[in-house]
Amino acid sequence: MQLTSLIDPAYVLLGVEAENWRDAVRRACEPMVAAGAFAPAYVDDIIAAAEDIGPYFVLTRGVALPHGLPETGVLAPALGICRLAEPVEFGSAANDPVRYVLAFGSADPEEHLEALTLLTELIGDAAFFETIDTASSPDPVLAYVRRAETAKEEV
Amino acid sequence: MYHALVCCRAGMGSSMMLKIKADQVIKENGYPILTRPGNLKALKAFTGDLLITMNDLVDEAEGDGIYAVGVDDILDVRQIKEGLEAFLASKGWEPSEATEHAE
Repeated sequence: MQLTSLIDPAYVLLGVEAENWRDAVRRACEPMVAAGAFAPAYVDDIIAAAEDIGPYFVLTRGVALPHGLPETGVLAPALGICRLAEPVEFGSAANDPVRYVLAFGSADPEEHLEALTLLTELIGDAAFFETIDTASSPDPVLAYVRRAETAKEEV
Repeated sequence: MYHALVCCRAGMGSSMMLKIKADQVIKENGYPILTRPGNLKALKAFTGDLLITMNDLVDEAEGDGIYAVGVDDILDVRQIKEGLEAFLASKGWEPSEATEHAE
């Protein structure tokens, strides 16, 4: 399954105001909850887990990939791309503050190995984040992901 | 061959991405390490040689007596490399034993 098939334009949020990390996670997940991809319990699980063991999903500088136990409520695989208006502290000594919240849910990550391989490349790609920073609609962001996907298929 | 569990709490997003990065480092350097992804339940039933995880889970693993390589930033290839080499050194492995993996 391709990365672009996990991202609906409605899942791309640009310039979201968030009071704190919990708020940031909830807001980043809102479109997937509204679309029925994530049950509200899935979002609660992500937040409860981070309260319990720390921000295990802050993967690299400024980038969080909140995800939880799929059995708590992933109804359809999805990835959101949320740019916060102002960076937020997640409590990650190495990678705070977080500016990009990429909420993810999948019941079968093995099935999404290809998509996650591309996502791993994208979170190390400065031009991807520049695109998110300058975008005023989801279109350029999705177009960037689609181009990266196509380039990878052609290799 | 050493067996590593690449673990995060849920065993899906970050563990798969960390496995992707760790596998790149392992392949480039010819380390005798096989990885598989897992979650905290897999960690409780762990029988391998090594755990690779985000740093927040290292204390939990070491409390169980498991050798753990903690990673702060999944894109920090140098930290992953140093962690894996320290593990291999603890097993008496020398870098000269690395085998080139032909593409």
